[in-house]
Amino acid sequence: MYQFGYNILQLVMVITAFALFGNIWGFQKRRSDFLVSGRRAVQLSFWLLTGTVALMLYALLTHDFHVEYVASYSNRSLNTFYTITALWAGQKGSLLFWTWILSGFSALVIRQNRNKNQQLVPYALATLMGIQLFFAVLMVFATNPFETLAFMPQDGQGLNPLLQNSGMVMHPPTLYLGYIAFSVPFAFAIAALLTRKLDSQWITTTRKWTIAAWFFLALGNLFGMKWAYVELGWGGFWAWDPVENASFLPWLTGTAFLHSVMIQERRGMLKIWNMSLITITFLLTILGTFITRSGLISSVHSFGNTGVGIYFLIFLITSTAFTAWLIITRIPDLKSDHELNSLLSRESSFLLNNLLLLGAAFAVLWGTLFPMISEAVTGDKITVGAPFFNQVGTPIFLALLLLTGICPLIAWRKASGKNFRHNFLWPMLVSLASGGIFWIIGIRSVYILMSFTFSIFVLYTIGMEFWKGIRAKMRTAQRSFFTALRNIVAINQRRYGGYIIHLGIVMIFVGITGSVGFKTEQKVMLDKGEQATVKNYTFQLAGRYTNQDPEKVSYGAKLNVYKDGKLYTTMTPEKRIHRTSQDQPHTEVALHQTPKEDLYVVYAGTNDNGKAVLDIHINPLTAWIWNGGLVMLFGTLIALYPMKKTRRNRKRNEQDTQNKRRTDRRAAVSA
Amino acid sequence: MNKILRTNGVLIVALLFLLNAQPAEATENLTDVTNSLMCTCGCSMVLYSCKCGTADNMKADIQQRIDNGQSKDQILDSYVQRYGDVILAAPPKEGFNLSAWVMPFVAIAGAAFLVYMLLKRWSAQGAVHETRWAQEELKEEDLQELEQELSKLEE
Repeated sequence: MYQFGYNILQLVMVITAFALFGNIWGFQKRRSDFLVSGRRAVQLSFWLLTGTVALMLYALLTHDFHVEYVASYSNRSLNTFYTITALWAGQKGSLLFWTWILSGFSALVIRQNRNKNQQLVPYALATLMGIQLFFAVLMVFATNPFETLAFMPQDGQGLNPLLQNSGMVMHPPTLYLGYIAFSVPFAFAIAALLTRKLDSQWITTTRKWTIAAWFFLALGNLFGMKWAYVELGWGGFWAWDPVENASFLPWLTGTAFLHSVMIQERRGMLKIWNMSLITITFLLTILGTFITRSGLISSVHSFGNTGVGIYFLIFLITSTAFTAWLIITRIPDLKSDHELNSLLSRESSFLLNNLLLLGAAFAVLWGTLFPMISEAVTGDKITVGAPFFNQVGTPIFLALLLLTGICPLIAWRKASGKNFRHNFLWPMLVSLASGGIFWIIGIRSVYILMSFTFSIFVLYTIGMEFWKGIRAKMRTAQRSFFTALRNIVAINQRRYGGYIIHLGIVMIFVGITGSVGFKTEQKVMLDKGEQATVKNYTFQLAGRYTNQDPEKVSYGAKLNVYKDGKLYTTMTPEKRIHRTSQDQPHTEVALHQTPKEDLYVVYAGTNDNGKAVLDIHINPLTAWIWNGGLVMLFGTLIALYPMKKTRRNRKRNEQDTQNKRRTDRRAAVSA
Repeated sequence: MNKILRTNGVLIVALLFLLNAQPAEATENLTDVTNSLMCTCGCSMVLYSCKCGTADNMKADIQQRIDNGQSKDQILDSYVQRYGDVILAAPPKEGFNLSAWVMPFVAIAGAAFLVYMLLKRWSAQGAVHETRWAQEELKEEDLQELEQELSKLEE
């Protein structure tokens, strides 16, 4: 049966090649029959891949350990939920999952563009099929997900215990969704280059794809951080590991792209830059996958050397060369429609934002690859770890935070000095005053002061932008506060959704600053009944216990936590040993989370005197990071949600516009 | 305005460099030292973050050295002598490895200069066109078209 699964993959490879050829040939020769069959081939590949994914899930759920992948990543005692997630836990399964999602997105592109974009869609589909063909070739020739063993093991090796966590369940698929969704704007960019249809159509067509891709990448990274925080037991959430960096890089360039396309949409400028940015973002998603799967760079959670690295390298080099050639040969057609009206304008501030985002991406990439570069030059092995990235990255990210507040204050086209001063005065005074208060209450670290002060600055500007819009609506249209708020958001979803996303980013900055800058940690050793005080909490060891189930043995400590003499909470950190990986005991952190601070306790085992060894961390403001993610989700939904612009709403807006004009004219006459 | 921007640009770049230079640590603590070293168990994690047996032994050794009055540099030097530079969590700021630290800021400064020159050129071209355009009087139909476009924008 599983040979049949492999045969389907072979068929997918052939059909994908046909879809690629059919779309190109059909468009070039104006052959609608080829175009139609090319599209049907895309849809067919999706249904066939859906069948292969269903087959793999069937193998996992029926514990068919004949399949090497099933034997490697699941076992009989694994519950159904984690058995399903084993689909993307290993390389072979994750490549199958990736290809399936890509084919689904391609089918969705056809559905979305049934009656539009007929110039761009054939080449966009051909590009998507080119990427899909690469993955199909990988699965057919290098890493067959349906490879079978010569014997049937009694049980499988099971899923790595560290991966049995809700954060890790969501982390890979959300990251993949982000990676793969960026293929769509990239495919339309390639189509625009090939057809020389280089206006903003490819950008507006894929706007929602870009926002969704960016959001899923952000979400994937946040899930990864949450997993590291609750599962690895070191009290942190981001270790600047090469694999983490690999998923952060396209997010940085994707953020730059999200901002710079606005300039092209509004002013017809930065066409070459936007083409380059989406290309770089796509190539970085492939580079990330290459880093994760090539074994080139050692990392705590890479797949190791899986033999597919060379395929990714060839694909990366070919794609880079092809896109570079395409952009270079189209430069004469990519000239801007307008010039810049002033150095002091929203356009310039967006460029500065792009510069810093790209600078941050370069710093992260440089640090990630530097061990290889250094070894090649000096012959000595070195490590580039968290201290490097923290030291180099912090000033760049702080500058970016400041710019998040500055950009909305500068007008498009040309900002006058008076306008500039008027917009900046209050945000600057308020944030400086806040900075002074932070100093008075004892914050002395320059970075922490800057982070909090800049955060206040950005919050003020976001509030001001909302208030300006609401006030104008309330005045001109005589609307209530909430109706005005709803109206301005409905009229310009992307703008206000973007501000809400900025609010989420500020919350994440505050959370990171608080948890890194003010953390308290202490190792304590307690016997039953003994207690230790960390900050203003008293931890008393109430007892220890051992639990066993078919999967694991858990050794735990029960702690009563007192605050101000009263019982505040009870915590039960554990150390677990899974039967399938007895050489790899892992910690189960006990976490008590509040917006103010997290109590985070790790049970490290017992010392020579039989006392429980506990790592106690008090991490302030960490919950703000996860809540910032939720706010970002809300902002993204605002930006993407298809709000119905009813006739009544349109009429209302027309009336409001007329009223506003009348008011403006009266004001002008009286002036 | 150009002067203000130029001065601000230089200040921002200078600030980035200055912030990157950290003050010397006066006192040693376990967290600081273990954050500067890698665990040797092969996990590729910073020693501070690793919770394996090897990490526990290394941390105990470092704590003992701190208790014996050794400075952070002395502890790091002894580990480098034993394992080589690869034990350090960040490359030493000397020789070729200095480029790891400097390159990102050089790249940003270089790109900032290029962007500034580009913006200056674009804005100069834009100013010429704007002046030419402003000298021409708008026709009635152009005004109407403008009015329509503005209405669309407001919607």
